[in-house]
Amino acid sequence: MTEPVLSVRGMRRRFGGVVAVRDVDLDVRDGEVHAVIGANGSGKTTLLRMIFGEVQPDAGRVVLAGRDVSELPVPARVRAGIGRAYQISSNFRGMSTADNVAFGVRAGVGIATALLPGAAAARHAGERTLALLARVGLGKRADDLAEDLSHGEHRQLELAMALATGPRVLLLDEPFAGLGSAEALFVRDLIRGAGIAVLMVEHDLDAVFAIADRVTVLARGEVVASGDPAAVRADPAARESFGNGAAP
Amino acid sequence: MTRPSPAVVAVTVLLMALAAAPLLAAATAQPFVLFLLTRLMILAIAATGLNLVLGIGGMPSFGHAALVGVGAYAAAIVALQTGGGAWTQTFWAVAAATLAAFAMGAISLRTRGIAFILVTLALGQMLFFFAAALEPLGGDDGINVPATFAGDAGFYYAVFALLAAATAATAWVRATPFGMALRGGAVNEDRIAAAGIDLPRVRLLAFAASGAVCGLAGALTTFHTAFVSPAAMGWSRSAELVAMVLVGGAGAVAGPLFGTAAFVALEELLSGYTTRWHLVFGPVLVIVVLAARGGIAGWIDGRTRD
Ligand SMILES: Nc1ncnc2c1ncn2[C@@H]1O[C@H](COP(=O)(O)OP(=O)(O)OP(=O)(O)O)[C@@H](O)[C@H]1O
Ligand SMILES: [Mg+2]
Repeated sequence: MTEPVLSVRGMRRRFGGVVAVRDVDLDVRDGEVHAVIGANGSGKTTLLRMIFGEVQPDAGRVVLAGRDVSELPVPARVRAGIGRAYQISSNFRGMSTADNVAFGVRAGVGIATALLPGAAAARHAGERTLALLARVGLGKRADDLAEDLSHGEHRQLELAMALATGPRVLLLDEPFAGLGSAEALFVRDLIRGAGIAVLMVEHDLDAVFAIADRVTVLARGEVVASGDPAAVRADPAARESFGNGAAP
Repeated sequence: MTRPSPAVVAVTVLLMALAAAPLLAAATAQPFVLFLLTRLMILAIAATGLNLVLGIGGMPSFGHAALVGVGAYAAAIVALQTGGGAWTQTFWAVAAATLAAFAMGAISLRTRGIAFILVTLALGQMLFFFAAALEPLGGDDGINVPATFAGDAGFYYAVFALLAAATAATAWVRATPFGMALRGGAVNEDRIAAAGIDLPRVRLLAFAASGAVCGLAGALTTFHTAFVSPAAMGWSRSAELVAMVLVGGAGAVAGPLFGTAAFVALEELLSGYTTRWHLVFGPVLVIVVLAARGGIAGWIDGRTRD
């Protein structure tokens, strides 16, 4: 067994009277796509936000490649190797596609060392930015404003931005939301092809079972099933939690 | 960046006009014009400092006039207490204002939105009251300072060169990763954090750098008027600086110069008619901000963008 890249232990968070996430354990291994599914409000986004450091858990640890990152703020977790794409595209619409990706690339270079636009570090960052855009299929859109991209292209840009920081594990919140089937196929290949550990939250069960190596089912904040897709598909507790007709 | 935008062309023309002004003033024997233009340029340097924080970084500081004041007082104290010359005065003005801005930033940047406005305003007022309590320096009334440059044409050009440098520095900083992070943070803090950038640190650095520029403007004010007083440090002066940046075009390289020119021109035009000319400036500000969201610079560029 390889060591997990990302280990989550005992994650818990309550909002007022609602326990959004209750004692969740989770492992993501290198090169593995791990999908978290569950009904609306089952705590998927909250779990992702806690792993990333955007929401403070009431209890629980996050360990990245053997290093406890539970106390680190978001930028430090990113530099440690956690990347994140957003459920709702919220990139910098008034900036070019390349500038959007360059944020993450340059943060790795060090914002102060890359201060001179003509410096070698800046040139290197520029090359890496273009390579990332080409990889997600936006090679021709580098100089276009982000606001001119289509919905599908925004998703591609989201992925490029998340990959820009060179993450060891990628957190994706509903990467297939609102995509047409051709776009969905493309994004699916991108995620598979990323070659790094992926933890994704997704509503589209077809996409999940086509792509995931491991599936965890949340219901009311608790893990009710976890394992390889076929086993989860057959699990009665998991089937029940999918609710009204969404069962696979 | 491709071709220079119309606003950049306009600011270049404006700078060239400022460079030629002393010749015109000499020809027409209107030295008052030079005094006015010097004041305009010093205000524009201060507005350029604020533009880094407010325009580029999206942090609405209402305490920046106090930072200018810290620079002005530091220059005055050096001249009065030690008899130090222009370089020493400028050094201490910049150092003191940078330090004050660092402290102001460290405290205020813990807050957002209205709270940020109120905290910067309160810290600015603290500095204002502190200056007013400096009895050896004239307290409320202020004090005359030995003139460093007596009506010197060289001073005009020194101020001009500093303004041109500050404007060029704005253009440069905007395009650096540091400036991009600052601009991105004004739009979406979470995304900047998700890119692995320590935004609070970037903002604090920007605040300190902005204070340095304002401290420089403060020293120049002391040189220019041979006088310091707390009156120039109050929150209403800070609000005027904010207005200059917004009217000129927040975040635009040319914004501070346009905004200050509009402000000084209005002041000259209207103060002839009424001492309450600020009553007119307010509505003008509202109209400009509503009509052209990018201020004068955005209007010249024929489009607005955030
Ligand atoms: N900031 C918050 N304040 C209060 N309650 C919250 C907050 N964030 C989430 N919750 C609550 O926690 C629960 C879990 O929400 P979460 O967004 O994590 O679910 P989700 O599984 O991502 O749902 P969806 O499928 O709709 O995206 C919900 O009951 C939600 O109302
Ligand atoms: Mg969600």
